[in-house]
Amino acid sequence: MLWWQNIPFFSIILCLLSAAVCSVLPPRGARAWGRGVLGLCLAGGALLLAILGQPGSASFTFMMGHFPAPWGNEIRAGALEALLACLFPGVMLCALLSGAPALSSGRQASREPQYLSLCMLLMAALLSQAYSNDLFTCYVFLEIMTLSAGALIVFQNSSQALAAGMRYMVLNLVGSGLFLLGVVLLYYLTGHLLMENLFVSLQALAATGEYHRSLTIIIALITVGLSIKSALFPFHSWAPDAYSSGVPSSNAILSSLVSKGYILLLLKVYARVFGWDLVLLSHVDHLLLVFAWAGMIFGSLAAIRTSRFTRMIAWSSVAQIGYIFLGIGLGAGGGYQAAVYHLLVHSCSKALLFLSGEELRRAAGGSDTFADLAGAARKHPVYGALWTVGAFSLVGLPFTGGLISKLLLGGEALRHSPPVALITLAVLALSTLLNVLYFLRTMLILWSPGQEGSSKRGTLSPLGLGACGLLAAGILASFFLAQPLLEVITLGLSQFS
Amino acid sequence: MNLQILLENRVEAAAIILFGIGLTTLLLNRNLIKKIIGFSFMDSAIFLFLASEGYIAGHTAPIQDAAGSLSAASFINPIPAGLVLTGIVVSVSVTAVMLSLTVRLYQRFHTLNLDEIVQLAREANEEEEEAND
Amino acid sequence: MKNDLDRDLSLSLEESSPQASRLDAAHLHAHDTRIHRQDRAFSTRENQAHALSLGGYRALSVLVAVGVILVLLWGVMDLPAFGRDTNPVENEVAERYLAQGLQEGGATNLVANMILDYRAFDTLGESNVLFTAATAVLLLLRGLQTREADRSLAAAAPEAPADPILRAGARALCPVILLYGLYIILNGHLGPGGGFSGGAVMGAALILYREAYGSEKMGHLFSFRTYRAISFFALAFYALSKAYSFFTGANHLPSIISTGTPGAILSAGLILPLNIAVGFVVCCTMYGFFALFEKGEI
Repeated sequence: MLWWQNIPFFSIILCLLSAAVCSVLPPRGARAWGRGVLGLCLAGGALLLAILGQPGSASFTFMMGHFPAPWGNEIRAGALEALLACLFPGVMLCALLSGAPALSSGRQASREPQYLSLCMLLMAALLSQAYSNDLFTCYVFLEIMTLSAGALIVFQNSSQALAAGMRYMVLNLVGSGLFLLGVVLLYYLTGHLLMENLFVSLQALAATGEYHRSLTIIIALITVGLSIKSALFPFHSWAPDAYSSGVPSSNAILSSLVSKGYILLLLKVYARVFGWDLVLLSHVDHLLLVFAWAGMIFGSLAAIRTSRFTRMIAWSSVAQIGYIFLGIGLGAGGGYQAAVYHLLVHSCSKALLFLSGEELRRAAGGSDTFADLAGAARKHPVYGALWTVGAFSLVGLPFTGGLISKLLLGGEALRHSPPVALITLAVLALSTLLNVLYFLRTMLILWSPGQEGSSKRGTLSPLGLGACGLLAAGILASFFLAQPLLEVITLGLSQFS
Repeated sequence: MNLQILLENRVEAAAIILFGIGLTTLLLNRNLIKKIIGFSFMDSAIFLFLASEGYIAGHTAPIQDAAGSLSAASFINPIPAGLVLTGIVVSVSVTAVMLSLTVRLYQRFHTLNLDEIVQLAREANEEEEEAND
Repeated sequence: MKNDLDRDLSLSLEESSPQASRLDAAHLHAHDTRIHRQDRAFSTRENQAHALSLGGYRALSVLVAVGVILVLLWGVMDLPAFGRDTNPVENEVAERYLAQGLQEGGATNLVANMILDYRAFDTLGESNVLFTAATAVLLLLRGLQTREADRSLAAAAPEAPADPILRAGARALCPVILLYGLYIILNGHLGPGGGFSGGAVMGAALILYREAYGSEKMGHLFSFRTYRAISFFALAFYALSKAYSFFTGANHLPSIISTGTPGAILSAGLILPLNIAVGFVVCCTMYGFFALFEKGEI
């Protein structure tokens, strides 16, 4: 065992420990501790990526205890896990840095340690989701994600946030229940919870044709459960409220990280437990494609209809989740690759939109309606520019990562049967057009010469600006470094099987 | 013949029926307290299912004596039992959070009906905005 | 009809808890006139609208339930038969837990070996789920009465002194319950029991004491600081000791933890200390939940 192979284990344990530590520290201390731990996790992830991202490197497993899997628990890290281990702490750190004012102001201040404690738990859960090799461990940490994300919504003590939190909890519990039943049934058929052993047993079952019916039901249960939790259309009804009524950092974390954790788990289940052939056999891929197509259009239409700035960003998440699921539905190989790529791009872009959007809102006097936001970007040109970068990326304009993921999706669609390819391309074009419509409209409003002197220029916090800058840099890097990034993703996905 | 299997797997079948009832109550009942009851139903049903998976007719609970003299073949499967233990803690935690959220919502809106709560929250939000303008 | 049921439920809820009835009073006194107005507007509107939609809604519910159940039952018919020792779940994994659990883990309770030694990572996650929930409930309910509008009402309602019978009963019962809970925790590696169940029993004793002697007296014994300190130390101990065990295990380093003599109270390595840590966390959390639900304060 090489020393750096301890990094995944240490980052998970450090986050769990920090959750307890943050809960007893005073607000300032908790803030510093939380940021420090996230920074450490980010550094660890970067180191891991530098080692595991090299061409030809192999993934490794790490025994959680004295017993080898399948008896003990184990975690596993490859190129893709390393990439995500950079993404998750990085985005959360940016969200906490940039969203700090809303956390430490007024009545909220005394509750900040608890908020950070929940963030640490969420981080531990996200990392475990990426690293864990065991389906039941994934379930346990999935529930940590569900609960901590719900608490992050209701941290904002408003009526809106409480109601949104309840709707979020109800639908997410349905999702957890379906997922757990799927895992339990899977265990009954195979006697395993470890992904590798499950894969072997399921391939054997598929070869004999035994339990075909149950397997189809299990795949459907797990898919629907995780789709509900990641807000895929038509299970998205909880998402727009939940993504737009919390404090800015909660909004950013929920829409850009939590939903990604569930999608990642679904991808792992497809790639490492069932195998794509078995998914094809169950025809769940058609279901995903239809939902993804509908979501891409419907989410954008709803974003156009809404008259509120934050809700528009939240609705666009529904459309963007559709893109990621489109990639998964297009299947192993190019489809997964596009899905992971868009997952990365969307995480950075959506966090950037929420965080810089919040600064613009503050410049406009805290209002959320488009009419009041006129000219907000002129008051804060830097944040205006950053917001524009995020919007460009989601539209898919050149020099942003969004273009690459759309090209990947389109290219992959062409390799499918003509009807699928045709519909996918048409939906992609239409959805892009709709994206252009509402993002362009918002940008025009933001940059229009608004009411002069209606509110003072706010002070720019260097940390918050740096955090948003980092996210924007991530978006640009995903365009200019697309080739190496794609190689890492391809390597990581090839290590899955 | 199929029904015979269903009869043999009657514990699983009962668990599935409970699961369906719980799921529907959680999803479609508008009363928050009943939703939580539905959630408990759903989770308990899954635990019942798990417990039945590990059962082997005629075998006993997996507790050895100090000398280790009992045969391993006389025990039921310990894995589902362990999973149920973990699951119960998760279920208790979720129930507590749901109940506390319900208390807050009831104090704020004086109703337990989720549809009304969502409606009232929306109206409250709009009024807030009018006040802002 | 369904509406009536909803009403009944909310009514019984109000009757059962003093806090809720206080809130109801707040409602009647129309502290928050805006909500009160909307509430009334709703009840007239709902009478017409709900009567129409109720039938359809119920039919939909039944339809969904029956649909889900039928599909899943259709799947159950395709599952391995109940209670056979030839089922796929009876494989080498379970076999090793049963056959070698005693030597490898040291606990005669083989399930305890499995959850606290073989698959300890799951259980570490599990105790953190509980911690997540405790933090969430704390965020939601702590200091609620000072935050919400009915501050004056909260101050105006002193705690009624508990019944003497309850107090005498609690005095006799609390030590016994605590002791029993402790026994369940300490017996966790030897027989049925463990941290979660024992902690829940101990939490029940604390709740009973609080009910009998009032939250103020209980506050001397068990304040928010106590709660925070115990949770912190127990969770930190849990995470650190498991980190040590995982680290030595994965790196194949010698570990100072030995399994001891099976059947002895001080045996089974980390299982007993972990059960104690979990017991403390669960006890505090259960009591904390109760206190927060009752008064919004621990």
